[in-house]
Amino acid sequence: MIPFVAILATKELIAIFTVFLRAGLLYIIVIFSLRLMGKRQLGELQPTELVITILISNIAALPIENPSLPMTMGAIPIMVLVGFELLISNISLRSRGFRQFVSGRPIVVISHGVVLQKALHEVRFSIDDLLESLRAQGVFDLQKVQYAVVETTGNVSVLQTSTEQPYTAGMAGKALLDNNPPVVLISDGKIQTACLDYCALDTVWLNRVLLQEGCLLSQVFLLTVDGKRQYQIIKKEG
Amino acid sequence: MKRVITITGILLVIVAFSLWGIVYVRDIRDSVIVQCEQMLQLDGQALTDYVDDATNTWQNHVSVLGCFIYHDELDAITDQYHLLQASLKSGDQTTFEQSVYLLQSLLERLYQKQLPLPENIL
Repeated sequence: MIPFVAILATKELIAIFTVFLRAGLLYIIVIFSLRLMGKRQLGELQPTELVITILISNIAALPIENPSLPMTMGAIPIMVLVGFELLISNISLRSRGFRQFVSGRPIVVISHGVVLQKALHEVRFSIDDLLESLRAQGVFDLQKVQYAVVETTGNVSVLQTSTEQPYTAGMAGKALLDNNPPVVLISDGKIQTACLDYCALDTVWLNRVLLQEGCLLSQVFLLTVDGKRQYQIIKKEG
Repeated sequence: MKRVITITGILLVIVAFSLWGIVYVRDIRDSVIVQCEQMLQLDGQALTDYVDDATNTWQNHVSVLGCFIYHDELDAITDQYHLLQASLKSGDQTTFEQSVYLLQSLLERLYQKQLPLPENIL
């Protein structure tokens, strides 16, 4: 009886290890395929991208939970789907007509405070959906909307009437110089070399700053610098 | 463009692998059909040795076939080989012959399932 239990336990362990390896392999395949699809995939999804993402997640799950299914039956469909997605996105880049066929086109649903009901019906948005999207962007009054457009991703872009738009330096006729945003030069005691190059700075400048602040590189939690070489330093606690 | 080239390369490898898989299964089917015809002609110890060899050869093929064919289908064929051996030991000629024909039929079905035929695609 005991040897039988031992054999059974070994087989069970082998099966678990197979599932473990399969899950790891499929994880790598899925990550690789998502990287192949590009960063756009990780942001707002186009209809084709949404379909591919759902299909990939379902296909990847099958060989993981069923060891009698060959791994290739999971990997091949994933790669073929990614291939089609890349093909479609490349054709879409070249052909506006094809892009509209696959992803649709942006549709104006509010024009000068008037809800275009036909357009709203076309995008299958209820008035509640529209109002919710407006509220999410801080717009509570339809009359203050000059244009609202339902994008191909399903998001609503809003242009408020000129009276509701924030007062800017441009409106005041003032010319302000564009300032580069601060970038991280030292993060947790480590120099970000790429940012140093980006700011056209060198380690000599950095050492001088550290000397002025009276701390070592390893004691710096965060050091940021902007386009005017104005820096902000946060030292490590303790 | 780099991505398109990469995925095109991957898809070409997949197509090549699929074609190789079809040829591989066809070759195995052909060899098993020949084996089965031989089994029906041999008898005695020669037949027992032949069936043992055929079973070992099949076990070697399973490790490759298992990479792209459902394991349940391969298990069904492996079971038939074991049934051949068992029926030989028990001297059950009827079961042996039935298993030989079933083996041929299973291999033929396996090959047909690999082909890009309309009934397999749709």
